[in-house]
Amino acid sequence: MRRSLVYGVAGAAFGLALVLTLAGVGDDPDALTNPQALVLGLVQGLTELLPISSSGHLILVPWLADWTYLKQNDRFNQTFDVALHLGTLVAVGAYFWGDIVRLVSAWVGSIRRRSIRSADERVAWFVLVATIPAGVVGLLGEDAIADSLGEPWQIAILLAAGAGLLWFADRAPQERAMGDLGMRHAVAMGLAQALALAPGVSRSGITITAGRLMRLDRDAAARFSFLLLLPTVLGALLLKGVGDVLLGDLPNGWQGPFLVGTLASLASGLLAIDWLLGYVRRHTYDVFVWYRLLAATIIGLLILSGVRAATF
Amino acid sequence: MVAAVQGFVAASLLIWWAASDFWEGAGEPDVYYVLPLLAVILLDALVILRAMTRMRPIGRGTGG
Repeated sequence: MRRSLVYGVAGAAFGLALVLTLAGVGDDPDALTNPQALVLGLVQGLTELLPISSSGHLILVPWLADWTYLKQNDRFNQTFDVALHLGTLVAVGAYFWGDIVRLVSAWVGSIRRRSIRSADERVAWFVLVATIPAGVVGLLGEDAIADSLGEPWQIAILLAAGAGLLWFADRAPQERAMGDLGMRHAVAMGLAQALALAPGVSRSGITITAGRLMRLDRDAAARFSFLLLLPTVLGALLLKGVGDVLLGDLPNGWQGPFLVGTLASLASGLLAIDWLLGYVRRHTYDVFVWYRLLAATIIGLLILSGVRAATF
Repeated sequence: MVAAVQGFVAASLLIWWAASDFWEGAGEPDVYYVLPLLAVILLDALVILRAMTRMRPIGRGTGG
């Protein structure tokens, strides 16, 4: 996707979200407000694609701002989550459209021939295999994860733990491209991705960490992470979207926040992809290590000082 | 030194885990939640310091 197009689409999406917010379109004072949805959408797009945990930040921001509506209205929270992820899915799908078409046709070709020959065919199968563990763990453990993880103090620990892992992994040499990896690596990547169901781990963080441990170069590790997002998030969206949005009744006051949140997450998601791919060509992932450690420390201090409770 | 810090961190986490019931019984003071975070941050500091030390060995290659 051309850079001017990325910035054009991101600007248009953000502009529309801002206009809807300022005009109060579909705003329901008894539900999540449009300004809150705008902030959460921007946070989702940035944090889903940068290795700093979107699910963690979507809990931490309301915790910091004392926005209790989503916490108290789980049904709204679940469906709003679908809307936010739709924005980032569209961002990744649009940015990598050329790669997606190439990989899907390579995958279809390898099925027809019943053999894997080219690097694209290997990558396509890799993405598919690496999606399975996260799908299985997500399906079987979704309720347990929601019940026992996701408190701010737990998110802080996982942010800090992920920081050390990313630092360690990013010291590995950059020797491999995406097509050099095998099925053994795909399974390992899939298992790593399954860990990201815990808020604070970060899906992109743990897959980039796994990629760097497999000695992928920094650009390839980021690209791989973004490609892995597509089937994982698409599967979760279809599952939740059909169950909660199409078959269930949409909660009151959904129109404004859903539209604003989706557009904002599309805008910030596009910018995050473009910035990260440009950044890691010249830099290490250290900035995200420091951010994660800083965020974890601030959360710890807020809890210790009594400004915010450890649970939310 | 490194082994001692690693042992300290592991022991801290173990004690914290083992004492969970006690903390819960005591009404979960905030320090209960922050102790494991402190241990993990210490571990991170150790990992980062070790990597930095390996990257730039003291006393080598600094002279003109």
